[in-house]
Amino acid sequence: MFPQQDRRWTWIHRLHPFTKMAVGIGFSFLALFMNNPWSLSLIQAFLIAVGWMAGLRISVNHLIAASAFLIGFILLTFSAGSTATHAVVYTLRLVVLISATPIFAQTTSPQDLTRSLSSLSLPQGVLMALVLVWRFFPMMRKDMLVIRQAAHLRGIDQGPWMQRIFRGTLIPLIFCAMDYTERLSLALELRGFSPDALRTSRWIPKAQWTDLLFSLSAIICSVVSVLLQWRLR
Amino acid sequence: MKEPYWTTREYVFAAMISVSLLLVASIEIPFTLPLRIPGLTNSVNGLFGSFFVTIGLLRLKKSGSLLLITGIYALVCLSISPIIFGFVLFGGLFAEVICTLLFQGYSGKVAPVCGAVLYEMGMFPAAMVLSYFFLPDRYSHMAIWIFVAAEAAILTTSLIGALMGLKVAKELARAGRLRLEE
Repeated sequence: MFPQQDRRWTWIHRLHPFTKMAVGIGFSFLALFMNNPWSLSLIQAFLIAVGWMAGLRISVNHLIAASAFLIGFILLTFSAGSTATHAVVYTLRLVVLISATPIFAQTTSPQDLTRSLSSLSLPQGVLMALVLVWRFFPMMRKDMLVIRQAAHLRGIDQGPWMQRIFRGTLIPLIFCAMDYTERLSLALELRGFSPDALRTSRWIPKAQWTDLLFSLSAIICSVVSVLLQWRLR
Repeated sequence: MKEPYWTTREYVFAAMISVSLLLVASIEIPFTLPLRIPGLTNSVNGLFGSFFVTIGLLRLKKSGSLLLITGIYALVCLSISPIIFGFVLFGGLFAEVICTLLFQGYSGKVAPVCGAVLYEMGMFPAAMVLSYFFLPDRYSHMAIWIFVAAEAAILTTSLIGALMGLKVAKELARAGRLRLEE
């Protein structure tokens, strides 16, 4: 979700964020209406190929965990009264849905996405808020771990569960959020930032011939999977 | 020069509330989603989500605040799944429209609590439509009372969360970190 800045950039990384977003959203919606395992497998194969070309690799531990989750999901679906084919279809649909957009998000830096969104008529403040969310999510996640460790040391995690959650985690977390708000707002105001001020210079990503090539291959993949669905029904 | 509707401080605060929502959802959802009990994820999320949303609305107060928080949250969710983006935005829009019609903003204590609860309750029907695509065999025969019971559970948990948010907001006000009344 939050790509590392030092990752090697490939041509997939350099595609326009809206092209990747459109393909991700398109595949997600297409998967919702597909009930043929071959059609869904084709879409998933396309996504795996894109991930491979972008240099995204999955560790053995994650692969084992994902396989265990998927086997569990197939068994649960099968036990809910579905046939084996249906169980496979639902699982493949889930895999496409949970991998389509994140694969494209992994290859798009938050800065590029925000630059692209700035070409839309979204308020500048919302764009700034988006950058802050992407920037501060990992920091606040670390803070939350510290908060939980502190709660453990102070013995707050011994009481009733509501007390543990609220006193031990949520209340310190909201204080942490207020703290960041104060510091960030002061820093931005000191630098003369105004949400409605016009930007004198900014770079907005533009679509290139690789975007056309990528979109065409995604469309071909979608058409073939729709044909498979229709022919093999 | 015309004053902007939202100040920098308000945008930053809305962003921080969105981070908190994302943080809590990223911890809670992996535990509750595999259990596949209708409304369970939304009920648990309602408890924590409404806590932060209530505090956010108590601080921001202006009409459109809920849409600002949920809009930022939904845009971040767009990089996880367009479907999550859809139902988060739907919930925010639904609650915002009702609260704007009823209260014209979030001053006082009732409007923020109402907004937070309606947001959590509004997300569930949209999430149910998504569940139908995952397991049509199961959800097409789902009795209406299950839906009503799930909505009742979401109402209860999100109300508890919102009231806790109200309580904590009073403490924040006493500590001089939050201004409750104009």
